[in-house]
Amino acid sequence: MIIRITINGRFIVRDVPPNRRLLDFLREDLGLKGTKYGCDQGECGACSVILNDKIVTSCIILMAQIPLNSTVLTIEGTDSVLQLIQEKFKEFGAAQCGACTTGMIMAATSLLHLNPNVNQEEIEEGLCGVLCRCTGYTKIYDAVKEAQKQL
Amino acid sequence: MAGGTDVLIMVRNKLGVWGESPPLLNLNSIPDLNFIQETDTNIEIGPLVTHTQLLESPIIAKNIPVLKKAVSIIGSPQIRNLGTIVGNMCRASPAADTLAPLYTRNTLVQVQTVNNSELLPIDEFISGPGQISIPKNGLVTKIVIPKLEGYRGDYISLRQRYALSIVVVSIAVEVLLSKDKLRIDDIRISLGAVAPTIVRARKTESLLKSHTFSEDLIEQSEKMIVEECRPISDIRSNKRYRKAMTGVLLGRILKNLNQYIENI
Ligand SMILES: Cc1cc2nc3c(=O)[nH]c(=O)nc-3n(C[C@H](O)[C@H](O)[C@H](O)COP(=O)(O)OP(=O)(O)OC[C@H]3O[C@@H](n4cnc5c(N)ncnc54)[C@H](O)[C@@H]3O)c2cc1C
Ligand code: FES
Ligand code: FES
Repeated sequence: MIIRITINGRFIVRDVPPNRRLLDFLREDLGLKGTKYGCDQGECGACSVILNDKIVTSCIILMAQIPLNSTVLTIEGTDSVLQLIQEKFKEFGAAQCGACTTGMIMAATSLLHLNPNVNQEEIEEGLCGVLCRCTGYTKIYDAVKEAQKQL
Repeated sequence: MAGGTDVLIMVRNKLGVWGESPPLLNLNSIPDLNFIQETDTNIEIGPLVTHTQLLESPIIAKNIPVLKKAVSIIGSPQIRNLGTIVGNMCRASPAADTLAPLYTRNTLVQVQTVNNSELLPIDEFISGPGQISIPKNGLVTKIVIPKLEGYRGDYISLRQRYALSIVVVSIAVEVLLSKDKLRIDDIRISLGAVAPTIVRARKTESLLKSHTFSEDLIEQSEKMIVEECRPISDIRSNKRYRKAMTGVLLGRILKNLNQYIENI
C-alpha cells in the first residue's frame, strides 16, 4: 500500500506492506533508531512516538491503521518542547541506561503539548505508560517540572 | 481489528485463534464507524471510538460518569489512545475495565452480518471468558447504552499497581434513591474478575432494593455479596481475597453514598 505521511516535518511517500509496524517502519525503513524497541507488546513504552498529536506505542500499530496524511513526531524531531525537555533530562541526570529515555521524553513532550500546566499527579499519570528500571522516576519528574517552568 | 492492542499482541505471541499469520479486517478503513451519539433514551457508541475519545466526550461525562471513571484507569495514555471500548468488550476478558459499567446499564450490542442485524443483551453476547456470540461473517457495529435518569454510581477496581495492570476485583454500582433520599428505589451491582464473565450480584441487589439506607443494611449487603460470588484463584490473586474484597468495595461505595446523603 502507498502511504503518505509527514515524519518530523518531512513529507514521505512510500510503498509498504500493510502489516508493517510503525516501529519497524521508523527504525528499519527510515533508519530513525532513536525510537527504541523494548518489550514489543505495548507494556514498556520505550517505542512511544507522537502520532497525530497523540502519544502511542509504535510497536502495536500497523501502517494500515494510520490515516492518510498523518504526522509523526519522534525523538529526532525539532519541536521546541521536545528540545527543551531533552536539555532538562541532561541537566537533571534523568537518564541512566537510556532504554526508557526516548519513550519518556516523547511522553513528557505529549503531556506538555496537551497541558503546559501539569501538577505532580498529572505528570505521574502522563508518564505512567513508560517503565524505567533505573532512575526511580524522581529525576525524570524534576526535569519535566523544570522544563514546564521555562515554557 | 480496531485498535489492535489485544489482537496484535495475541498475533505476536501466537496465542488464541489467530495463529501465525491471521487475516485481519482493518476497521480503521471504515471511518463511519467512529461515532458517539445521544438519542432520547440511549447513548450509542461506534466500534472505532477509543478510550481517549470517551474521556474527552461531554456526552459520556454527563450520562455515564461511571464508565468514564472505569476508562480513565485503563492501561496508560498510549493504550487509551489506541484501544477501543468495543474491542475491550469483544475481547470478553472477565477483568476488562469497561464491562462492569456496561453490565449495570443492560447494554445492547448490535451484531451485523451482510443480511441481518440484531441487538443482543451484553450478557448474551458475551458467552464465556474470551467468547462472544457472533457469526463468522459478523461485526459489532455499535453498542447501545440506556440512559439512567437520577442515578448515582461509582466504579472501583483493585489491581496490583495503578498503571499498566490487570484488575484483581472490580465493581460498578448505580443507585436510584427515593425523592426523600432515604430509600433505595433501584440498585444495580456488577462484579469483574470474580467469575468467567462479568456478573450481576442479583441477590445483593434484591436485598438492598426498596429498603431504607442504614449502617445495618450496608453490613448485611457486604456479607451477602461475599457469599454470592464464586471467584477462582489465579496468578494475580486468590479466591479468599477476591471474595472478601467484593464486600469491602461494595461497603466503600455504599458508605460514600450514605455520607453524600447525610451532607445534603
Ligand atoms: C499494555 C496494555 C495494557 C492494557 N491495560 C488494560 C486495562 O487496564 N484494562 C483493560 O480492560 N484492558 C487493558 N488492555 C487490553 C486492551 O487494550 C483493551 O481491551 C482494548 O480496549 C482493546 O481494544 P482494541 O480496539 O485495541 O481491540 P482489538 O485488539 O482491535 O480487538 C480485540 C478483539 O475484539 C475483536 N473486535 C474488535 N472490534 C470488533 C468489532 N467491531 N466486531 C467484532 N469483533 C471486534 C477483535 O477481533 C479482537 O478479537 C491493555 C492492553 C495492553 C497492551
Ligand atoms: S516496545 Fe513498544 S511498548 Fe515496549
Ligand atoms: S534509564 Fe534505564 S530504564 Fe530508565
